[in-house]
Amino acid sequence: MSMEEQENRPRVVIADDDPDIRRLVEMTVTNAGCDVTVASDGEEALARVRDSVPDLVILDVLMPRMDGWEVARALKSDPATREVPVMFLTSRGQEHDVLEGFDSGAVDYMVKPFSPRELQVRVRSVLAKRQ
Amino acid sequence: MSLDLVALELVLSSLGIALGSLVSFMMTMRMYREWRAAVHVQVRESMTGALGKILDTDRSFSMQDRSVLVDGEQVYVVPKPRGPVGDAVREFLVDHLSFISGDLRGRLVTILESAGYVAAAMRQLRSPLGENRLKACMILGGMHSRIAIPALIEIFNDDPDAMVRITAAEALGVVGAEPAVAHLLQALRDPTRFQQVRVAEVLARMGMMAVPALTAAVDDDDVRMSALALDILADIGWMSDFDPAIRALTHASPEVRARAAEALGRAGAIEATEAVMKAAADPAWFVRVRVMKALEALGAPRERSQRARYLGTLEQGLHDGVWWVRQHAAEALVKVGEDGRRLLARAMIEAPDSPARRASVSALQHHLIASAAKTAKTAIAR
Repeated sequence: MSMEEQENRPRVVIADDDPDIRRLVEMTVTNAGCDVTVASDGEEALARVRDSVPDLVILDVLMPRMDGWEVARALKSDPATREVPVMFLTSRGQEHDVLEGFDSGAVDYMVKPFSPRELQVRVRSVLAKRQ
Repeated sequence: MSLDLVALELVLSSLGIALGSLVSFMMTMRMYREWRAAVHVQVRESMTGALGKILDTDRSFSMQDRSVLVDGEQVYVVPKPRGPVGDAVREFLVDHLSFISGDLRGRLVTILESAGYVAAAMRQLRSPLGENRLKACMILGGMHSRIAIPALIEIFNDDPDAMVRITAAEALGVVGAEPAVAHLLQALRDPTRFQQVRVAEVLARMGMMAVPALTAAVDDDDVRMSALALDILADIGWMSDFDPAIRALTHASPEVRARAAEALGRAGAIEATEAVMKAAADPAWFVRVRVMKALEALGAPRERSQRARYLGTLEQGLHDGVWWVRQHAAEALVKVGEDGRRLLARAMIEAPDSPARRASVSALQHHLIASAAKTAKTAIAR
């Protein structure tokens, strides 16, 4: 891969406190052709997004320090990160959880256990809309 | 030296030896635990490296004995399924199986099958120790392998240990074993041998694949079986073939009629609304309670004449002799909207001291409080 191709890869921040799931999502999104940065809690995710303003953020809901909904709301209330699309990937799959996720500004919501193939398609779809 | 002193010396030296042995045993155990943890970390690291390639949707995947091939290239050799290394491999794959769904999950299952992990757990099902058989059932459930289904069904039917039988049932539920549905339903007939509630939970968790057998069981001659089948269908929230449940609204047993009404309400079977309305005249009060709840869940029909009959049924419920029926009728009327609340207001005015008035007041009060709370919440959020 050339330097230019490397630089043009979409940048994605992934936040999940479970190291195995984080790694699995990282591999899946990397395989979808993205440049991935990971965070293990909500606060770290917020810092990573503010540092790099990525093309997509994938958040778990239940995380230490700040939960995914709080992170999404903080991103949406900051003019610098307002336009960054947020996707939830969480084990919370009740109707009210999904509604809360979209209410906090998410563009997509996936429930664990997740299909890596489906995640890739959704990531590509969100990124395509952004472009 | 006196005899007492010799005895004391002997006791002390024995104690010293015992203490020394204990310390050395504890140190060995600690070293073993540390080694095991190190093996775990090592295995997880090596497998994580290979996993990215294994789960790459753009690449082909196959197994050759214990070799994992991606695009024909060997990316990992799975260790044999024994000892701490085998345990670590199995745990890693089973953990990841619980995170992912879809067709890529099949790749991890294939690894467990081809490398002999499923066969090893199935051998443990024949262990004379119940504890080992129970553990094997749990492991096989986590592996999601369909190869194990016949063996798990056999254990579920024949194991002498009740805990092992129910663990096998749970494993079958996790694997999603359609052939197990008939056996699980059969087990519901024998409450002395099986923990009925847990078997019912397994069937509910199996979801849609259990629905055809459960809808057939609604027509069963055994009243208990019909009632249980309706309960499980309600938990699943099935979407079609409501006819057996509609027929059950006129069953000879009030238990079955009550459960049929509840199940239809929870399933949101709007095509059953007319039949549920007819059941509002049921002689058993607990059936009428469930009918009112079901009507609330089903909601008011849009078609004018059917809507009028729906409101009429609820109004009739508002004057029922049992307060619980009245209460649910009033709550359902609140939910209908303006015309439902108008009926409640009329009941308040026209029957000032009747039980219907009390139910109407209570339902309207709750509605007003809930509306006020919602308005306040919206105002605060702004």
